[in-house]
Amino acid sequence: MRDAAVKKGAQTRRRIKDAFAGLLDRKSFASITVTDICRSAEMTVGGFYFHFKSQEVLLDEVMAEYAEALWKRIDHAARETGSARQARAVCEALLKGYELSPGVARAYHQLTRTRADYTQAWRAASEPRIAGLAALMRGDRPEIAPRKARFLAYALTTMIVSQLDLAFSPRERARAAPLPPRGEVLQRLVLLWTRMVAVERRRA
Amino acid sequence: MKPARQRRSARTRQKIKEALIGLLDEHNYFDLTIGDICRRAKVATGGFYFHYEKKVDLIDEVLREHSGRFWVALDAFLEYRDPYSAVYHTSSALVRAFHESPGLVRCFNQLAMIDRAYVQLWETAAGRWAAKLAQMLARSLPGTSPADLESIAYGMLSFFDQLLFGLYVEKHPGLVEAGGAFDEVVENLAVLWYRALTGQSPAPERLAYASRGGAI
Repeated sequence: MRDAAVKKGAQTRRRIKDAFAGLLDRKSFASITVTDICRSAEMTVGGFYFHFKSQEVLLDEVMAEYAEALWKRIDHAARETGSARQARAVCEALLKGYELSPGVARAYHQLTRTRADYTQAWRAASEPRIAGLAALMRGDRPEIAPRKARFLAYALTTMIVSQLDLAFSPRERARAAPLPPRGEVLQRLVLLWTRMVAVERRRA
Repeated sequence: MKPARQRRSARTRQKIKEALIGLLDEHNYFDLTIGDICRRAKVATGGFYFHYEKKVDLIDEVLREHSGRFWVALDAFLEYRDPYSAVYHTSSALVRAFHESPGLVRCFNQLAMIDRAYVQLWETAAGRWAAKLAQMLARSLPGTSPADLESIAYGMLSFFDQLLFGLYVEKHPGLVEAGGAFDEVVENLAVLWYRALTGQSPAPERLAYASRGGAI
């Protein structure tokens, strides 16, 4: 009896989180209300507060899940051999987050730039991955100075996130800006990465 | 108004605007009061209200003027026939804007989150600039498509906006250390931009940092 209740509780939490993620695709997180979430999840406000102390707590949990999945994908991508394959794998790892839930991905990256706690967490998590990426750069281009390789690593990751933010922004924004169609986003990311790193153009 | 009064009036407006820009480097826009601005500008509050009804009217004028001047300057660099020169000077103007007035940039970003008008202002100007850059480059680079170039140019501008925000406004320690001096950041970005647009590196003799420890 107790197991069934726990299971149902977990399902309800999942339903609330999915409803929230869906709303994020259409609205900014600042404008989403508990009423919106409840309407979308088909439950009562009281029911919501039984599972989540506040909307903040819900946001933090959804973002934490997104971040955990993201870093897992990126670390997996870093295990690819060969820089061309790694480049593609890293781009895909970031792209996947946006494809699965553009609202959550956009909100997460925006939070890492606007809220101190998220900024700290992002920096702490990205530092070792940036160092790994810089090492990869130096492997392909032995003449590049370590500090330059680090700047290049920051540049590449910022480039991918900004391109994805643009490609997956709400329709009205995308209309104003010239962008490749969604299907070609990965191609464009890999192209820009390859060009920026300039491995083929290395002078002998 | 008599000419002398007009000149004084224009000077007062200028003092108010400069005071706000100075204050923004030290304080959050939302924390500033009209009193703060007047004290810094050494202008009576009455003087402020003669020119501006509310704080938001002042910041709107400042942002639109800055924005206008910035994009006009960028347009001028497109007169360079040489692609790397055009890209280099654009990079320089962009880095300078962030380096000199980080407070103003931060304020612009904060307001853009609550008022779409500022987002649209940037997007429209950036779109127009990207189209012009693409036309200019397509002339010097046979076999390239202006549409592709435009899309890349716009994407890169967005990307640099975020990178420079991290560098000069948020001052992310790792990024600041890796970026180095102003000139180095300018050149790094110029090289990356040129590579993204053309698929090639600029000739080494054009780069100041190529010899000292390699280009990016």
